[in-house]
Amino acid sequence: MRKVFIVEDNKDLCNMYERLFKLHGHEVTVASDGLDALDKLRQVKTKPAVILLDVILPKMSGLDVLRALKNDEELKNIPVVILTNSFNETNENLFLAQGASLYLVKIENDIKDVIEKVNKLLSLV
Amino acid sequence: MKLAIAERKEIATGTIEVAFNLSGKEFHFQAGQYVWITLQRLFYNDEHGQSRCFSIASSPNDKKFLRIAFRVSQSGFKRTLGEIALGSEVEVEGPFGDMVLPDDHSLPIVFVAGGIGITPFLSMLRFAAEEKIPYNITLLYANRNPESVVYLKELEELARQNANFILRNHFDLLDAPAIQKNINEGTIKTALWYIVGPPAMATETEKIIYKLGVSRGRTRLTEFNGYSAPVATGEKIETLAGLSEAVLRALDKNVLVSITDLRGTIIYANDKFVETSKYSREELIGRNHRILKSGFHRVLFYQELWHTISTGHVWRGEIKNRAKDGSFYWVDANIAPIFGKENEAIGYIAIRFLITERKKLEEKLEEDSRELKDTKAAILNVAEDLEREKESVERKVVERTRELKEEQARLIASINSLKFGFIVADPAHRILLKNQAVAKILGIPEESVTMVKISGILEGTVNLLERSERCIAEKQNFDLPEVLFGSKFLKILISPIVMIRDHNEVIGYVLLLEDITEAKILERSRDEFFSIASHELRTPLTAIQGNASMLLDFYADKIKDPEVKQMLGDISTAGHRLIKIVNDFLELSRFEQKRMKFEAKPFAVHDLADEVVKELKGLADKKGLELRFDPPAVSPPNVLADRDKIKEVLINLTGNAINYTKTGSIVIGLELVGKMLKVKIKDTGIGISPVNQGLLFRKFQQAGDVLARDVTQGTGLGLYISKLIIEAMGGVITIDESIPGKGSTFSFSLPIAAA
Repeated sequence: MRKVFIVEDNKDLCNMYERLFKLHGHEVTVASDGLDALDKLRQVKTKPAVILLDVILPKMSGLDVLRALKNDEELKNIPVVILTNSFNETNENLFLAQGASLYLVKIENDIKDVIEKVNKLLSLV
Repeated sequence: MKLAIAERKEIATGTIEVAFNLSGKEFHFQAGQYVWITLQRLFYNDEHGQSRCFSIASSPNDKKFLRIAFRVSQSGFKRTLGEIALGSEVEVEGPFGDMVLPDDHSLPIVFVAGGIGITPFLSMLRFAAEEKIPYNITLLYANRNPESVVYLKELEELARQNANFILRNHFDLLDAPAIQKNINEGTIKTALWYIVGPPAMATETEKIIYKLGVSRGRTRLTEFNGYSAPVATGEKIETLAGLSEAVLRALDKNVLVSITDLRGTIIYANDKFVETSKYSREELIGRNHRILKSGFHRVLFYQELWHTISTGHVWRGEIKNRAKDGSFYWVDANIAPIFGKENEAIGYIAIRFLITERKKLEEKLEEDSRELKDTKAAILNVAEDLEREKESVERKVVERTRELKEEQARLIASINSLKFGFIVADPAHRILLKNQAVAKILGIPEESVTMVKISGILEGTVNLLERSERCIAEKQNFDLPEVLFGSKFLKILISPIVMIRDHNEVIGYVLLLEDITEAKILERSRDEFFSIASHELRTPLTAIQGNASMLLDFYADKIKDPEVKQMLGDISTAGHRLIKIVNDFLELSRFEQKRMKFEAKPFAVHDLADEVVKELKGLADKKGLELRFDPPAVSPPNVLADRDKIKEVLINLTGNAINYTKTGSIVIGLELVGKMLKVKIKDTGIGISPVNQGLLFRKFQQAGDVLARDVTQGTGLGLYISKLIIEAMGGVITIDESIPGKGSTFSFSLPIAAA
């Protein structure tokens, strides 16, 4: 069992991914905007094993959150999976360059693909 | 003698001098003498209708030429001597008789003259009077011709002034007693006698002097026939003058009265006539009335006059006469014939009223009126011309104005109907033409539209004046595609107006303002649509699809009812389909916006074909179809293309083949064609009718009928996107063959990667 932190502003998707990871035995924490996410991540003592980060988020964008994470000594080693519906090769390259571990387009990745790829990442880490 | 005309020239205004050549001719002539020129050709009819010859003043000064001057107003000469060809010979009669005076100045000279025979002597006597002729001259002058009275006066004057000139006159026949009485004995015998006169008189006189003892050698006789016209006898005239005197005197104060003989020679002149004509009475008497002729009236006028009176009628008319001093006077004349005892005409009486003042006034009036008329006519002509010109110009102006107005109206209407703002301005930014849209777009009152105002409104966004000036200076367009103006987006175009005719001079600029706010909103909403499609649409789709999958995958055991399971399956399928549609749309839009990026790398198509066959095997198996890849005997070379995109195309074509095939097989094959590798997908499906084949590869086109559509559940974009991809790779996608009911073969080609 690993700790998974999901940053997703859409309630439906958030619930779905939370359920997905719980079904697969993970402990899930969620945040609905960028600032909320950073606050929670900084406050929590036990840091998550992986962070699923949406791109378009209220208050603080996914990219800014990613940059903040990578600049945070305590958080920078946590793998970040960009989970978005905005497909753009430039974006993908940009996020990967900023230290994201994976770039997944939600609609192109069925829930089975998502859990598969994240579990694979977790086993590697 | 006949003399040739050698020269002719105008020696003074209106006076012509004709020179007769004297070469080889003896023409004894002395200054001041009268010369008679008698030329058949020079004869002309005077106002009496008579043939005349002339005596004229002459002034010879050399031996070679006889020079005769005459006034051109003397119409006969003007017409003849004045016009006759040079070199023509004319008959010229020299001084009458042998007028050569003796060398011995002591010899006394006696002139005997009758009638107008006096004239040849007169000039000599004038010279004598001026002491040019040193002779002692005695003149015996018999004058029965009233016309000669005028000479007598002059002769008397000459005699008074010159001691060596003795005038002896006799108003009747010269007979021996008269001669003896007037000339002393010695003189009669010693003198040289010169006799000139009519033949009868001359011969008679000659006889007389011979009888008196004058030797024949001492006489010089010249017969001269003067006028042949009948002359009223002196007796008759004197009687007439005497009878009329009392009556005529009564008229003296107011009326000009003259009496002439039948030839017009004046025998009576009253005071008023004398006063008016400025001749003395003595000068008038004996002179022909024509001395008063002014030259104003035509010959015909006089002919008519003479005809009237000579046929016994009274002539009445207005005559312009010339006085001695050259001045003119007008008279209203009544001229009537005077009849003698036997009822024969013996002369004429003229009663004339002076009308000079009236005539002058009339002349002046006439002249003024003529001038006025001329001026008026000229003015009228000019005015008429002007009027015509004006009308023509006006008409043209009206026409042109109307045309221009129409043109302008059309232009303005066109410009005003433009949705975009239109301004034509000169280089000083003065607006020459603008339309209503300008004010509307900028949201300012129409009357306040000036370039400065517009520039001010847009200040901070664009410096319009500076741009306009650069546009003129650089002769180039400035396209400002997106200028933010408040909440609006404007597109501004500044274009110079170049006069090609005038050396490409820039005379201003055109400014176009377009409100592109709506277009921007549209564009934005299209972008927003894709944004929604990619985010807002995809997000719930992901949730629907994800939850459906999760239910089927993780909660299958909890779903007892197979129908619920089926329903969940339908939701999942529909979700997938919807996702595919959305993805197709997104892909197409990326293509159309040229945002699609390709990564062409060499790869082996047979590997890709294996992969696709593996992926779609399950789908084919479900329908009981055979799906296989028939690799060629020799491995084909790699192609250069974007592998992911080509996989998409191959999946699309293979998927279609599976969808459209009920039984049979789908075979993927490879074929090397030149420098291209052809990928073929052959099925045993329903086939496509030739009509529909042409519609393939088009946007939103699906082959087949309604049933087929139900079967395939495609979006209609698959082949179109495939076509775009293959063409982007430099290949061609085609339907090689298709027979309805038998199957189809689709193929696409890809460039071979360089070795």
